[in-house]
Amino acid sequence: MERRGKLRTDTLFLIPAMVFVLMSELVPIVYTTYLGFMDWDIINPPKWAGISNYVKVFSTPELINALKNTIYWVLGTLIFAVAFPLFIAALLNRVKRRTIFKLIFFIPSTLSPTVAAIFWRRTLASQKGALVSLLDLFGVQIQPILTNPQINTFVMIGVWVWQFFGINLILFLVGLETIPQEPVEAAMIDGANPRQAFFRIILPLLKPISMLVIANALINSIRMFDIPWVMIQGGPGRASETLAISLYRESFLLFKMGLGSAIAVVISIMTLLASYRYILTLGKGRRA
Amino acid sequence: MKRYMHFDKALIYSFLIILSLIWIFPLVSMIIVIFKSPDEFNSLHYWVLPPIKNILKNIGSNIAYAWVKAKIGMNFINSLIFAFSAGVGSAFIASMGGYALVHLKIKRPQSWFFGIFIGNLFPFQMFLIPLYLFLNKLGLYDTRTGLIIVYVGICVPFALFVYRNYAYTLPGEIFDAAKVDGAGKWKSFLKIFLPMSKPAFAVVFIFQFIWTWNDLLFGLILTERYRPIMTALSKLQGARGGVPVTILIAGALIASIPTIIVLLSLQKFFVRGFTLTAGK
Repeated sequence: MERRGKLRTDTLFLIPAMVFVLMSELVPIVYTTYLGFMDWDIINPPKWAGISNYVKVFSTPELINALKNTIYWVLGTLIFAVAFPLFIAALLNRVKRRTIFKLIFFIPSTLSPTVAAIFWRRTLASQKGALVSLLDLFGVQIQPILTNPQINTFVMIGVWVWQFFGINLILFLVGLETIPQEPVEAAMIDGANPRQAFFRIILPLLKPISMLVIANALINSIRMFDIPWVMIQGGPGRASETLAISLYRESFLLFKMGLGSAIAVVISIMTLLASYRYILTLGKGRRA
Repeated sequence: MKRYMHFDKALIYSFLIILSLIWIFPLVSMIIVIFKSPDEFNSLHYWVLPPIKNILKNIGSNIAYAWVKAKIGMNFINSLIFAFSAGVGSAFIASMGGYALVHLKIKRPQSWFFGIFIGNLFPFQMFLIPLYLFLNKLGLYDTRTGLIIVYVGICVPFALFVYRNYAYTLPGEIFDAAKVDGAGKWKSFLKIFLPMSKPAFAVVFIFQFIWTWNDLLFGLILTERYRPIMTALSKLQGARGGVPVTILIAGALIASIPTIIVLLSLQKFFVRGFTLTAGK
């Protein structure tokens, strides 16, 4: 009897955390999943809609386009905000004056995505923009950049890379500094060239930090909202929408709560699939 | 061989310098903007500076305009309240949980942990619509309380993760000894665990303060009157809510000061926090 009472007071310590998480995460997850199967305009009662919302996600041209853009964001992030900073970190590791470069590359990471988007929007604006005016001094005229649906997604991915690059660079540099030197030296003595040493020895040793960087990059790019929203509201029209912007537009501007919820579920499934290997490493716990 | 190495180094440096110039370009462009008054921005060529004596005055009046007339000051204070509450609130709630999971006898501690941590695995788009509906139902839509509850709730799973990992590094003997000396669980928690877990607090506080400060989406959906700073900025630069460019950029700079201060002053905890979450 006494033991049971004791267990209960111990559990009390976890109750506040559980209450907050139930309220703001666990119940919403269930509720969003439920709404994904409903038709609901907020005013009239929700109606059962089966999987029609999911059919719409994968058949409406605007939403297919958003899915395509989201995949561009993910691929762009992996190449230019993960692989590229790893390459730069390896370069920086070979030069003496690296502090100044570290500082320069890290400054954008201290800004928020919203501020980064505002800065670049002004820098790239076709009216009184910094780039246009600079090129103008050399007599070069350029077409508007942000309103061109052919390229603006890629330009905005560039803005995100600018903002996200620094933190990953620092993490890779920390990783490179902490890996043991002996296996690398041993491989070099055995005749491995720097490239072989990098891919065969250093990269596997960097795995824990790379897993973290990749998972973080995937999660943040799949749900990308801030930069394309602040720069051009997913426009022109709906050309540069990501899934996260489609969700916002469908639910909170067009009041299609069911369709919005279905998009949320799709974003969640993409995120869980992308990060499940990282989740597995967390599951091991660290009791030792 | 040596000449080859020299060439190699020169190539690396020139590459890094070109990249750095691209990185600095938008920052320099923005500095040029706040050096000017709205009139000078319109009349002068972009890359022509105003008279030196005007520069300080212009910076001051741009910032004052943004803070007072564009009401960024109010949003700045809103965001300070939100970010502090989320940082401190989630840290306190998670410290209780982390202490209990590791140093008290909880049935099925792993299930409890995953039940709470699962919130961190979903993108927060998954919570948006229900949170909007709940806050409306509870009469908390468009209130500071409503936003604080949401921000704390979103921050708790990650905070618990950090505190649990940190709690494993504290030897159980300390708490056993306190028990022998007659200290209860609450006393052990308040007098021993909390003071010893300052590094975990620093990590949680930095990450959650910055995340909340930078939030745009919840601020866009859950409030009209108590907009956090990023949401307010995004509205200021729209075609309709427009203020002069120099004011907008001054506002964006003000908005960046707190996170820069937090990052620079607690830098070593920031990197440690990332490696702490990286697992082994």
